Amino acid sequence: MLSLGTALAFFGAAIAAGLAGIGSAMGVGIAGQAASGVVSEDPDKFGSVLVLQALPGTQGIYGLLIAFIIVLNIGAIDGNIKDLTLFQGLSLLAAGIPIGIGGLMSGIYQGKVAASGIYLTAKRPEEVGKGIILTAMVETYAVLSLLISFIMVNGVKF
Amino acid sequence: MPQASYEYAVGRISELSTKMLDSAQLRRIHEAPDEKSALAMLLETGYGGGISQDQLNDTEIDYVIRSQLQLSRRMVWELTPAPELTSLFFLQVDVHNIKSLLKARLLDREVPDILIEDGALPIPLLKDCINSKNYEALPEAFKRTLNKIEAELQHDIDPLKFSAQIDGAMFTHIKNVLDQQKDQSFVRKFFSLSADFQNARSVIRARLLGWDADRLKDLLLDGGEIDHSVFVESFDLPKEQLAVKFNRGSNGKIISAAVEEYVTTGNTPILKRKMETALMNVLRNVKWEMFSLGPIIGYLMGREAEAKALRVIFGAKRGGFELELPELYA
Repeated sequence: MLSLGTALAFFGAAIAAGLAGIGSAMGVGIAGQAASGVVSEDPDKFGSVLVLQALPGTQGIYGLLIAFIIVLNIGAIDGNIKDLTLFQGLSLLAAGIPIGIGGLMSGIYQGKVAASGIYLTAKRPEEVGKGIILTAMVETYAVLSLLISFIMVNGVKF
Repeated sequence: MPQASYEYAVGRISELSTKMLDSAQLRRIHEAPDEKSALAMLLETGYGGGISQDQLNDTEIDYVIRSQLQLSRRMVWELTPAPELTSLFFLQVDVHNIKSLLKARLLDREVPDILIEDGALPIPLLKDCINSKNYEALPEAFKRTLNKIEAELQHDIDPLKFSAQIDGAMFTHIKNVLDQQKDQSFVRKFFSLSADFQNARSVIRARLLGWDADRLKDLLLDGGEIDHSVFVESFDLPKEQLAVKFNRGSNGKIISAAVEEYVTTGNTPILKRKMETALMNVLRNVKWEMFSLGPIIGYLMGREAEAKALRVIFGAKRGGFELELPELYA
């Protein structure tokens, strides 16, 4: 039977991958609907809008990365699950929260900026680069969340 | 299949908006040496949905404009995620159809050519209602007004009065729908500004034509922010005091400035011009609200304004008078 500490660590991994994944799914969904609208009128813009649509997908990858490090540290990958103390479990749960919440919110908002960038591309195709830069600005906060989650995970001693 | 989402709709509208005519293109069309060349230049832009000049006679600009408006209206109907609010912007079409059908019935004529499709109310329904004088199938405001008109028609036919009553029914219906939807968006702002501005114009028109206050009351529209009593009270005021009198509510400042300019210049058409600019500004303010109805309605009304501009241009070319372009969205 799992210890409470180990269960909390699993919960941390679930938050990291789950919430960040939801954020990305919503962001890519928002941008995808905008892209479909533009491409249905002008199929030649598919290449430009695809880049913008893909940008909110990174949060899900960051969340997966942190979740993977957590489950690796507790031995879930090789089948030798460690019995963590309550303090270790809480620490790994806390480590999953920044990228979980940061990924969720930044994914949604990045999707909205990406959709606006797609509309910009529809009206002025030559400005697609600016649309990408504006969308990438939101990424900063997902990267900061990833960084702090990564430091926290690595700070837990076993 | 189209999705009822703002993201998708605004994506398509963003792309379609690039095909709208701007004032530079319209001026070039106006500067064409003759009407035929102007029509050729217009068709080259893709206006009218790919009609070629071979399909047209020289004078069929109205057919081209109607084709483009039909395409635009159908596109907006297909895309809008908020059909109840969007339908309010199609009511002008219904009002035109109702008036045409009613006049046709009174004159015992057929009017297939002047009816416009793609309103909020289907043409067969309107035909049935008007021919049978049974308005049960129409929205409450139209039903009440048309029943009243039918009763009045037993004694007297006053086309101006019934035209004003039908316009009034449209604004009453708009107010009812906005209240039901609890809408506080730009849609309410647009129609309240329109009602207030038209009421102010009605006061000025009534004064110029020497009408009495009772006739003015028939012309006042519902849904504005300025109370009807303000317009009735202003009927007998010196015209220099009108601007101050109308300066009430959030629309008052714009209306007051327009009336002030009219009083200073004596130029009546300036009121209509200022109203069109103010209404277009309401739509321009929401042009970049990407996940709202703003860009969708902006596109629709932009196409309507573009059609009006083309009619002015071709009319000016035909009549040889000076061009004054109406307010454009693009």
